[in-house]
Amino acid sequence: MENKFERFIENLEEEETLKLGDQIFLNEMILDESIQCSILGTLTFFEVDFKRVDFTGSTFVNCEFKNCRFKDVILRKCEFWNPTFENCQIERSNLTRANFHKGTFRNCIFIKANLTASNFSDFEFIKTTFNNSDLDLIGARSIKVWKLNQCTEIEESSNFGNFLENMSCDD
Amino acid sequence: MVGQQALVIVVVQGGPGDDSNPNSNTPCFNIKSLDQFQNSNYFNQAQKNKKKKKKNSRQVSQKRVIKAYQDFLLKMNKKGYEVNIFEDIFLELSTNSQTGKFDEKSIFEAEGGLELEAKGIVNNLRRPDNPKVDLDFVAKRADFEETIFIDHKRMIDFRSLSDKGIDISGFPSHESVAFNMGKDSVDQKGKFIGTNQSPASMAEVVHLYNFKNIRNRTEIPVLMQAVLNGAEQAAYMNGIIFLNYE
Repeated sequence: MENKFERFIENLEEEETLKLGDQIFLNEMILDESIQCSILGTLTFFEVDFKRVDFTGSTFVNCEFKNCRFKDVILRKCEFWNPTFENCQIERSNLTRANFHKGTFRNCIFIKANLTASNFSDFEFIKTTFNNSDLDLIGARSIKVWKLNQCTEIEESSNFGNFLENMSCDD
Repeated sequence: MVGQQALVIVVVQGGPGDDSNPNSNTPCFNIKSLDQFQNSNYFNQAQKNKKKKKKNSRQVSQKRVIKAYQDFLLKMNKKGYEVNIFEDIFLELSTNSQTGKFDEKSIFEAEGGLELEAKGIVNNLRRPDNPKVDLDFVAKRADFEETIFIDHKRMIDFRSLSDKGIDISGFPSHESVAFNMGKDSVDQKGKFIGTNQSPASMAEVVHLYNFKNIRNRTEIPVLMQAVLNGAEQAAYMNGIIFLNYE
């Protein structure tokens, strides 16, 4: 298995920030990396496992994550513009104060993830659940949450976490 | 609008949440094939990669932080500020309070916060005592000795990607990024009020917008205005400081 993403990291100079775009990563495993403040644009990750990766303060633009697993990943203070997360599992990961603009979580599951004080705008949640996750102080603007055939639209909320929690429990 | 919530419920049949496709019923997770796990080369390769990574570890060392400190002093000197900031303070502020380790993001935050101190705007900069108050710093306002909380925002320059031949035509404009930052920061000012050792009001939270990374300096006035417009749209324009806009 080729780990193309890790090769990009290995080729960085000591203090160089990872700036990467227009790439597809397929079936890779990314372990134990610290790539804070990276700028990542137009990337597709398909069946990629992220484990113990620290992306703190990174910016992701037009990135797609499909069938990916995030375990013990730090996405704290990250900025996501037009992201798509599809069939992803996000476990024991830190998304505190992350900002998500214009994107989708579809068929995703959060397990023991910390989303405290994160922010979502122009975002859609489709069949996405949150189990044992910390959802305090989540801000939301122009959100659609789909569950089965029902769509709930939220114009603005400063405690969106309560709503997500209820949506996850209502089965 | 802070603290307010408006819900509108609309029921739609057959949309993105439609369950008619049996394949879309359950989340499908990345399960490697059995062959892949049984293949010893798979693990050997992973081990090799892991070994390689240790050699190239990107964890921030104390040496790196000290170099950042020295660069910071030089920069402040160049700007004509009299700096009385010791190395141990810089090291402390460059430590991620959640992990107890140095990291790039914390160094960046420390540089911005300490530049405010060098400029004589604040004193006694430190990380908040209560980790639940998730703002970058707490400090005393130099003029009135009031406690303020500071959050440092970095403006991003997407042109650093186009330098590498990456197509950024579908990216948001810097202006819209700045506008959203200004708008979102208003909500953030109100987030931690009421927590122990937290800001008592939104007036105690200052957002610091740093334009250090914006290479086209003629763009900066437009971005500053965009931040203000965003804050105005969210109905709160106080507590905004710009850095590296000259």
